[in-house]
Amino acid sequence: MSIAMIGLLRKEVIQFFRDRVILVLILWLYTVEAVFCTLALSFDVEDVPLAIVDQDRSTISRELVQKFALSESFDLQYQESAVSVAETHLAHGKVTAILVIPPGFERSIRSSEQTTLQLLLDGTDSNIAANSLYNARGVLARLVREQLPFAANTGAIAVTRVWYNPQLTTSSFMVLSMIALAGMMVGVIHPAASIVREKERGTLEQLLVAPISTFQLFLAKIAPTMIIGLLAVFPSLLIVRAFDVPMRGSLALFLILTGFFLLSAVALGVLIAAYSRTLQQALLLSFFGLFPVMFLSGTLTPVEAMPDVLQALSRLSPLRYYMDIIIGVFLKGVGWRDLWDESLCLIAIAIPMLILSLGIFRRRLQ
Amino acid sequence: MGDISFAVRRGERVGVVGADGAGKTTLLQMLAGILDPSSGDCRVFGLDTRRESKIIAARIGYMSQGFTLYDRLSVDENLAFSARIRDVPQDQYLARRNSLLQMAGLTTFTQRPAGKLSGGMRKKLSLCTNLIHEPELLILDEPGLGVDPLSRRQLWEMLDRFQQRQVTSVIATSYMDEAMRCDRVVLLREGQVLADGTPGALLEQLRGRVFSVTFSTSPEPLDDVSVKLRRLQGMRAIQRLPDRLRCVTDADDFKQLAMRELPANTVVTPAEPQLEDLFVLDSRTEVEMDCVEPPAMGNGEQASRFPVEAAKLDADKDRNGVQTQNLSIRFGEFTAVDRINLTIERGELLALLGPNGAGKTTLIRAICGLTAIAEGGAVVGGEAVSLKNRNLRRQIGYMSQKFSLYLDMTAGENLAFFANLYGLSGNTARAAVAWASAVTGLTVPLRTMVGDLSGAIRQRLALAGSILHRPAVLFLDEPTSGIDPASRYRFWEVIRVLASQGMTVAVTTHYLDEAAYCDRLALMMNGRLIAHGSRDALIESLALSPDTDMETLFLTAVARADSASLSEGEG
Repeated sequence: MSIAMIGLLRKEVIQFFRDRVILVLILWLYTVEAVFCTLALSFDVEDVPLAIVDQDRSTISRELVQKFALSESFDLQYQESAVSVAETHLAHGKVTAILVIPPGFERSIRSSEQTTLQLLLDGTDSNIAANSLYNARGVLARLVREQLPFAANTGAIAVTRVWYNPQLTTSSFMVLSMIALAGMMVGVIHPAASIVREKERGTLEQLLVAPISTFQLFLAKIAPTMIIGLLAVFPSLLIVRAFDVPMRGSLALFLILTGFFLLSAVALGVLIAAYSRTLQQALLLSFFGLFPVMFLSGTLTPVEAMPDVLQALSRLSPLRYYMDIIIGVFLKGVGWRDLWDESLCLIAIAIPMLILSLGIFRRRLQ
Repeated sequence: MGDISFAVRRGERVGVVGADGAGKTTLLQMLAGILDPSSGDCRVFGLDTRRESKIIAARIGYMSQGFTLYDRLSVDENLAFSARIRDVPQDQYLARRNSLLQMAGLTTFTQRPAGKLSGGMRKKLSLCTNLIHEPELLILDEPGLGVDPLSRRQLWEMLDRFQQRQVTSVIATSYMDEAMRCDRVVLLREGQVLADGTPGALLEQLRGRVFSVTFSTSPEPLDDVSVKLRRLQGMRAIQRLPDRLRCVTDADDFKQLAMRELPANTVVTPAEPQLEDLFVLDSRTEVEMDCVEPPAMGNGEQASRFPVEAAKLDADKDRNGVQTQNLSIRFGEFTAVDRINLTIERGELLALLGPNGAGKTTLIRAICGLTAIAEGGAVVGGEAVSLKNRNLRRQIGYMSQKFSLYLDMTAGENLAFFANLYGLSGNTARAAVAWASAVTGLTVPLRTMVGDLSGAIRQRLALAGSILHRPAVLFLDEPTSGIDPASRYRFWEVIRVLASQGMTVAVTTHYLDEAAYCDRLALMMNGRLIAHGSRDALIESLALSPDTDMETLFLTAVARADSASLSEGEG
């Protein structure tokens, strides 16, 4: 390595460690923010406020009320005698669900007659509504099993078994996507900010008249971010562990693929820096570039749920492949053999982006 | 800023002079009610700036150094906006707008976005937006900053016309000619008033303190004379000009002292004093009378550590200097630089002057190999100029007016970084840093953060950083703007020493005072070289009187070239 290159790298490292704000920001993104977002953005439905109208007042109906009261999925807030009163709770948003037990419920169930329970749901959040319905069915099934063991079906019973995430919690998915997002943000913003700062201060001019090539400058601008991004994987492993997410696959494979993912991020950062004159512009452009990459990646909504056009576009988001890889490595414990198409896609996006950003960086500086 | 007491009468024009960091902007912001005094009182129109700043704001115009216009809005929209936020009545607006635009010569540009105006036009428009509500007090923070002499004169013509309406104005400036146009001048130094009075009275204090040293017969080497002068008692400052030395002294018998020490053919005459000389004459100013004598290149211990490569300045005399031949640069259809033939000899100081947009920066960028040359060519330090020639860059040192240093790194880290950039490392780098620090008089500990250093020290550091690799040619862009006079004189002294060792120096500047230090001047306009030669030669060719000042010289040359190009167009 040439003396100039060592000098450039050393300078970047000195500046990086002197910028307390950036240091704290990166640490924050990878740790506190990842934890906060995972907790806040959890899609698990728990403690849904519930009102029960028991019109039967029998042993079995009381047992059912008891079961709902004890369930983790629901939080029994009101027991009313009139449906209309319960409905006002629903209308005022005090409860999300109302269970109505009709008169004669016990009699019907004991005589094995067909009977109905009414569950009124606030459907404004469809995710909560659907999950509540599912959970209510579970509570009811337990009641029937305990109270009427002889009435059990004799037909075939489907036994579901969920793999990779047996508790069906969303937090393991969320924490992994938050860490991927942190990598993306730091990867884009750090090189962009460090290049634009030189433009603003006028030091870039000084570098341009020096006998160094644009390629050396480019390398010096992306190398620290790459190293930081790779090192940041380790503290984030601890966070992931704290959320009981196992690391089933190979760390080496994960690091290599993280490297390629970061390359695509820094390439985007350099592109942004090439087109902005001030730090303000660079930050605005970063968000402009980060949002589509994020939304199209499937981290926030599943790619399968998007319209066809967006699904096609999502193939351009490096984050999409990285998410598949991260989930594969962590939750499924699969190796290179099962991830090779995602990896190839990621590399096929990262390398051209890098070359493009180098080309534009070179042209815009002259 | 501490313990300032001063008063401005209605209708008075007060100039505020001082180096960057002396407190000029702080003082103006306090008068404008933007900054509150920590202790003491500040009253404008008899109103307290702390409690009644709103009322004051409506009656003043404040033109700051930085942001003044909306780039995306047109000239008209900028003006209309500033009128609206100041409640200018609609029936008066139109008349005022027309007279202001007329005064500023912007009548034909009303639809142009402010961002597309030249630097001079922007300043004039900015002034218009601050005059639209006819303020009683006008506060201007360095209106001439970054503006070429021609636009600067037009700006002052505008101010003079407005002044006839008995408007009070307070103007910060670093141009002495602007200060001379004020009724009263306040000199600030480190947040304190150093002097306060009419320009005439202030200059009177300098009578018998400023001298010019020349030679009647064969000129003596000025460096040797300068060394002798430095040892004289009471010497405050020596300005090293191409053909003479200008001395500021507080000794009453300077002439006798000097004649005793200097050769017989020395002529000591009283020189025209400048307001700034008061700064160097002030006893609190630290005087550096040690000589600028860098360890000579190519001998002693330094040489053994220094590779031949870095010391080749002396070895290969023919390779140095700058030559351009029919150099042209085009951006699309626009010819930014038009067939320039310019030679800068080895060891020569050349000032490249011209109005904003004349093509000076483009020419320098091309010579540095940063902009593609359309036609012709150039040779710098023996290297042919091209975008690809990496050896060319080793021949070039560049110091921009912003002193491109990394504020979050220490002085030592900055120097080490620049040394590395030019391929110097280890002992070689350390020797280069030691040499450059010695030459520039950089005495500050290398562990100090650059952000904590004063402007004058930063300037030395930037110069040291740009000469570490001993370039054949050094480009300076307004190198001494905003620096106190003593540090400025010292800077040019250092440049002279470097030139005497064979370094070629090219300076681009709007401060014609800076041009006075150079051996030759090159004037550019509309991409062409309209005149070049020594100051005396230019004065002769333009048929001006011998004591013509730099500004008149510049403006005359520009006016001649203008009329010449007009008649050319008609023919």
